[in-house]
Amino acid sequence: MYTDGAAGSHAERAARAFSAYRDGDAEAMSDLVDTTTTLLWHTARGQGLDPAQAEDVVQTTWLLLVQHAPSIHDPQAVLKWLITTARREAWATAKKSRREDVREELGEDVGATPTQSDEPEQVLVRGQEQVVLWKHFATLSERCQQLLRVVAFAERPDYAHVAEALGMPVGSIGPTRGRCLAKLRLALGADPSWDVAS
Amino acid sequence: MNEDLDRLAAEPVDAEDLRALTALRSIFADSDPVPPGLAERSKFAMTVAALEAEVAQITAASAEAAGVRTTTYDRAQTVTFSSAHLSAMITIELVDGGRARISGWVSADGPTAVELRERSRTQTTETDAEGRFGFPQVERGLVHLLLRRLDLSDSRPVITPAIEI
Repeated sequence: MYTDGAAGSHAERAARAFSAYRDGDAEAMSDLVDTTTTLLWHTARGQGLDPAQAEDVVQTTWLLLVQHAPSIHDPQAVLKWLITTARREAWATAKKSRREDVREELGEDVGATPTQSDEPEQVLVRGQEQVVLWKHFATLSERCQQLLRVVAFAERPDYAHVAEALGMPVGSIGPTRGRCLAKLRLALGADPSWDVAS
Repeated sequence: MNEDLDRLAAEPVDAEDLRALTALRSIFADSDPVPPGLAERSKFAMTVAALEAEVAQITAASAEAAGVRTTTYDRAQTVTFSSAHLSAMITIELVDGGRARISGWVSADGPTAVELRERSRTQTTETDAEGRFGFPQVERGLVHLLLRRLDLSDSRPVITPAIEI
C-alpha cells in the first residue's frame, strides 16, 4: 500500500488516533488496530513464529500499548513503538519456544538463541514475476528478509520509520532504499528474467 | 560491487523498487494472510484491559426460539451470560430494515448502566426497577455489552464477549 494518501502517512494517522484515544476517545483506536495489525502480523511471522504465537504477539503488543499509553511521550512515534514492541515480543517468544524445544530434546536448558523456524514456509508464488522475485528474495539474509517483508506492507512515507523500528535504520533524509532493498535490486538487475517478467 | 551497493542504498526508492515490493506483498498476502478476526480480538482485549473489566462467560445461546416467526421479525436469539457478580440475559429480534432490537434483563440487585458497543457507536441505557433494559435500534454486526453497577462505584465493569447480531 505504497500510496501517499491525503490523510497523511500511516505514522501520522496513527499519531492522531493515539492522541484522540489518550484524550478519551475510545473509538479512535479501532481504525488504528485495523490498519496496523497487518504490519504487526508480518513483523511477528517474519521472526519465525508459528501462526498461534504470532497471534499472541499481536494481541500482546496492543495490550502493552493500552498499558503504556500514559508513558508514550511522542504520539508521532506510536507506529514505531508498536512495530518495535512486536519485534521484541516476537524475539522473546521465539527464544522461549526454542528453549522449550531444546529442553524436550535434551532434557535441559542450554540457553539457545532464537533462530528461524525449521519448518519450510509454504509460499504461494503466482506468475513469472513472483517466481523471479522470490528466488532472489530467498537469498537475502534473514534480517533483510524480515525487514523487506514488513516494508512491503508499509506505506511509502513510513519506510524509514518501519526500518528503524526493525533495527535497520535507513537514511534519515527521505525514503532511501537502504541496503536490503539495494541488494534485492542488484540481484534483480542482474537477472534478465526480471525484466522479461514485467 | 560494494560501491554499487552503497550507491544504490543511498538512492531514493523508485518505481522498480515499488514493483519488487508490490510483488513481495502479493506473495505474503496470499501465503500468509492475517487471520480473520485478529484485529477484532485485539480490540476486545484492549477494551477489557483499559476498563479493567471482568469478562462474562456466555452460558447459553439459543439460535432459534420456537414459534416466533411473525411478520415483524423472523428470528429470535437468546443469549445468557454471567460473571462472578451478575448474570444477564438478552433476546435479539431482527426487525425490518436489517436492524435488530435487543431486550434484556440483569440479575444485579441494584441499578445497572448498560452500554451497547457497536462497531462505530455506543448506546447507553439503564436498567429499570425490575432489572430490564432495551435497545430498540441496533445495527447488525458484532457487539459487546458493558454493564456497570451504578450504586457500587468501585465495582469492576463486566463486559460480554462479542455477540453476533
